[in-house]
Amino acid sequence: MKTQPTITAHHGGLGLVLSAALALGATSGCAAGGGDGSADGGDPFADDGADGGEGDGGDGGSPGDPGVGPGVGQGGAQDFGQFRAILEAGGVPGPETLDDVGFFNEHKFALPPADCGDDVCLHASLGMMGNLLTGSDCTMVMLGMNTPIDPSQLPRRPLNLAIAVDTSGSMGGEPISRVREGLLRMADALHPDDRVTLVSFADAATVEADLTGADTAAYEVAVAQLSADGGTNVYEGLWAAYEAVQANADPEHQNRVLLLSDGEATTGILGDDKIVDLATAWAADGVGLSTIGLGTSFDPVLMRRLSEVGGGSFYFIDDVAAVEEVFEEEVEAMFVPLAAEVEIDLAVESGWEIRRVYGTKLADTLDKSARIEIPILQLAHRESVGDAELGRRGGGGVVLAEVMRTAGDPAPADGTIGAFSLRYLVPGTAEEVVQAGGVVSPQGPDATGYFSALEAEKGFLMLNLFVAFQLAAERASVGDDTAALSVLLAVRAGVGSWLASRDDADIADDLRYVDMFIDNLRARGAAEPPPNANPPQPWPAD
Amino acid sequence: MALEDTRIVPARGLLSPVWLSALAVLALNDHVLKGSGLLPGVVTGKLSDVAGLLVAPLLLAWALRVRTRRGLALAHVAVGIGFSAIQVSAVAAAGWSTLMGAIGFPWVITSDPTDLLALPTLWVGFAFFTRALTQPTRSHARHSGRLAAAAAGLWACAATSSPDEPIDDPDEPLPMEDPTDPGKWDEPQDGWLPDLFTDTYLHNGTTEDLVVRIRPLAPEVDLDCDTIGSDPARLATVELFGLTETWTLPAGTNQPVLTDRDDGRECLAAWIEVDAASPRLVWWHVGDYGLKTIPGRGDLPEEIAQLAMRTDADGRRTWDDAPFAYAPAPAQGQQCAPQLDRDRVAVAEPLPLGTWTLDAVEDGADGCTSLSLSEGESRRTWFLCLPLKMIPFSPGDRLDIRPPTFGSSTDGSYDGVSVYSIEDADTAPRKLVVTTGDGLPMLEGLDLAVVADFECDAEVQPTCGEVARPVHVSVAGDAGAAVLLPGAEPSTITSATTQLQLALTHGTERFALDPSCSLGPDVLGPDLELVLTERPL
Repeated sequence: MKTQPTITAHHGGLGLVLSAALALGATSGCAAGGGDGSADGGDPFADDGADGGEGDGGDGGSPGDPGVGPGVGQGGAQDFGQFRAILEAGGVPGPETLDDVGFFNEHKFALPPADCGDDVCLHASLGMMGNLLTGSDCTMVMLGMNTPIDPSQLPRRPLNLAIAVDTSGSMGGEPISRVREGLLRMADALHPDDRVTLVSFADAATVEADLTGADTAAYEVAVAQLSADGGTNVYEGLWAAYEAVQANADPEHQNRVLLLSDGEATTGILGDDKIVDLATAWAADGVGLSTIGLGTSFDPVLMRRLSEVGGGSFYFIDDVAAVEEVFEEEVEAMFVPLAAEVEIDLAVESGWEIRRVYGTKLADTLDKSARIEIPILQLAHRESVGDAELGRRGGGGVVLAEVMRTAGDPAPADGTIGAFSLRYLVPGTAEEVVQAGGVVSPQGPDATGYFSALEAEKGFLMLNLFVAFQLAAERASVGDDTAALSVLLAVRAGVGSWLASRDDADIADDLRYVDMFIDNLRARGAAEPPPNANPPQPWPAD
Repeated sequence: MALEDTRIVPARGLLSPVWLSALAVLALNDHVLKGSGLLPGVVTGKLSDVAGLLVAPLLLAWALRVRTRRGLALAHVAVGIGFSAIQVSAVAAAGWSTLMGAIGFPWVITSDPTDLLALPTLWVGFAFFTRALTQPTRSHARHSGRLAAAAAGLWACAATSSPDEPIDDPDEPLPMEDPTDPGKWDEPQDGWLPDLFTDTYLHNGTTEDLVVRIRPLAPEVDLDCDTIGSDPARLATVELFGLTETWTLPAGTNQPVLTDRDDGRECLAAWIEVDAASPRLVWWHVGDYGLKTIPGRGDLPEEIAQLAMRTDADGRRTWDDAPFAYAPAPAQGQQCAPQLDRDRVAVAEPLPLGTWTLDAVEDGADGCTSLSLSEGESRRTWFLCLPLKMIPFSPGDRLDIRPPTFGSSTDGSYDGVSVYSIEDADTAPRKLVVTTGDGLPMLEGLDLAVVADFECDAEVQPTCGEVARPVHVSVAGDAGAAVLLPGAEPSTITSATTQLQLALTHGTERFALDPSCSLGPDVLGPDLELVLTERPL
């Protein structure tokens, strides 16, 4: 068992952000910090400059190399592309188009070097500050994982893959062209010993081809002949795909289904629960499922749930570049399991409690502890913060645990907040790997404006942006555009201030979408919030 | 020295003591006295009316370059008509307010017919100004004094609202008037608010503007007022409420809880949110609180129809208690387990109506079953999600698939499907019948009754804010009897000639329902799913 050092000092700062929070009427944590964003009263930017993004990573304060190599993904939504696409089209997205896993996965974190000696390294960092919406105390433990493995050197097991393609009438034109292109590009990534079944579904499902990876010509012909007409029988399409995987099942292969659809089920067995039950049942038999949504009309909740229960990923395809990235990623990167039966535990000391865990659907949270159980960890696509030329998806994401002080229960004066551990099995073996460490605030339990690593600042901003997007979408969905606007304006001020002295492409792009959201709300007639608006909304669960 | 001029020259009146006095009174009253407490509201209100009716006609005549007595009279008549219109017609008042707002001087006008008492002022003014406008004035006063007076008059008549609080949105409600000043020429927005005619209202008891978000019940939601009203804090959840209406309540002002209640419901409800405070659910029955006039401003803590927001000693916002307001309190644990949508039956649509040969039956990993059907060149895979043991068919059977027969053994109606095996003439068919709806099918020789599980309270269900409690179906006849519990194993009733298997896959009675969200029938009452298999012995 290896033990990871306790995370210690690196006081980052968000002075301008803090000022923004104070301007919103912050009265608790931020005000207690003296308003300069640093608990020790120093210049929050003095020691870390404005180059941003590459901190010591919480490894005891020693300078580390910037994060290199791929992150580690847990599946589920890989992007919030549908949300973005609706904004880009001038619309106002609904809350169902956004989830924390997908949003976090569009953020790449420069974690410390993956030098823990294992295939997966867990890094923890700490942030303590008033949130950007209300200024109320926000203490956040960020858990990120990366790997020293070079994916190009990692052989993958052969695939037994069934691709279920929606060929309903709504797929006519550009969508089906994109799918054809993606499937044809994917052919280059297939190996001769792969097995691929192509299933189309509209009113009913049809097996179009059942081939090996060597049958390139036959595969390309089958893909080229896909055409669109009829309704959307998702259930039957999935049923046929699972049956095809079962028919070709081989223990040496990775047995998976890939579902592509642009709409909601309109025929066959309707109701999300039944379709999810089908995927759940097959996942229990070892057949995974990834899903790809096209356009802005598909059912994001269903596609996301399917990928979650299927142990796969959910992607949104919005352009040709994304087609290439997603298909290749799905075949090459995401099918390489790095760890199995993963358990991440976080426990907090007296005086603290865990409010909520963001960035995973697999957390079981109690007051004093949280456990995240992940069946398989896989390689994430992006290898660095700047590696986004094909899109932001595949950052690997992080998990953020929001912890809070327990009223009337004193916290340890030495600043100990809790401890974390990672336990997993090396895939295909019984070898168990364990890592552990502590979470300590060197500035005590009441610190504010403290960040143990620069990447924790990014995590803090990402969390605030997600909450703001979520609140705004929820409010707009019930006709409260003004309140939605007030949330976005509040977070915009804080994030904009941070970006004035930091350079982060992900956060800058997020801010672009905040502005787009604001513009779209105003364009549809949202009244401006009162100039002296009170804090727009309690932090969730406040 | 100026020469005498016998024509009507309205500009001359602008420097008359009467007009200037009226102008001074108008300006002083609107911008100083009102809201100051120096004079009773009723006095300041009428002062505006009288002074305005003296100032406005002459200003209009000046602006229109009137040169005759007839023209001056028409100017007075025009002002009188306009004044009267906005006092007796809310539409006219709103139109005028919008017009003035469009040119940058938003007015807040309250229609009040008692203001018409000020109309004789017009006659007094006309009589006086007819004489005054024919009197000579000093020429050196023409350019500076008249223009200054006219400008002051225009400002006094137009700029009646606080420039700090322009009315940006004409759809926003007009602030309400001072209860002590029921009528006025025009009112500054920040001080004088009209009465409310309402049963329940919100009061801003804080010292700052309050942004209040009110979500009335969604129009599509149907609910049983008695059942939900028995425990609204527990049973009326946020999912039942519709689009948000956002209001800004200035400190000390009042606001009706519901501005539009023409939905035909016997009960009224809203979900109310204020920043930095816990939400409140308000719920009452029509008639619980009589409609009455409530001042637009003022705290009436003894008024039971008032729900007030205040600031406590620690600066936190808190709601007063009110008999119609509740802190939402969803149940922490359900007395009776909810029936999940995932456990409902499902039949693939569209139905493959007609006759088919059953080629294969396959049990799926998820508990659903696929039936491979063929007829000539036609092929169809048909899925049924119901207990496999309830499917009485095997490959090779000829099947006749139809809608279920009409006729309900209980109140309500149902939809579904009937599948019969096609047999020789002397052999009874096997049957599979699936029904969904608020009724149950007729069964030969058997009576059916839907019975509520009275030991279970109505509970909020996991989705859509639906409120329901379980029901069971009792079946009795010559061949036997059975109690069908929702989700339980099928019950069997055997007669001399047939074996009947019955399963109630879903059985609830619903008290709150959003048909656009919930599965099942679109009406309150029973939500029943029955699967029936009949095999000849």
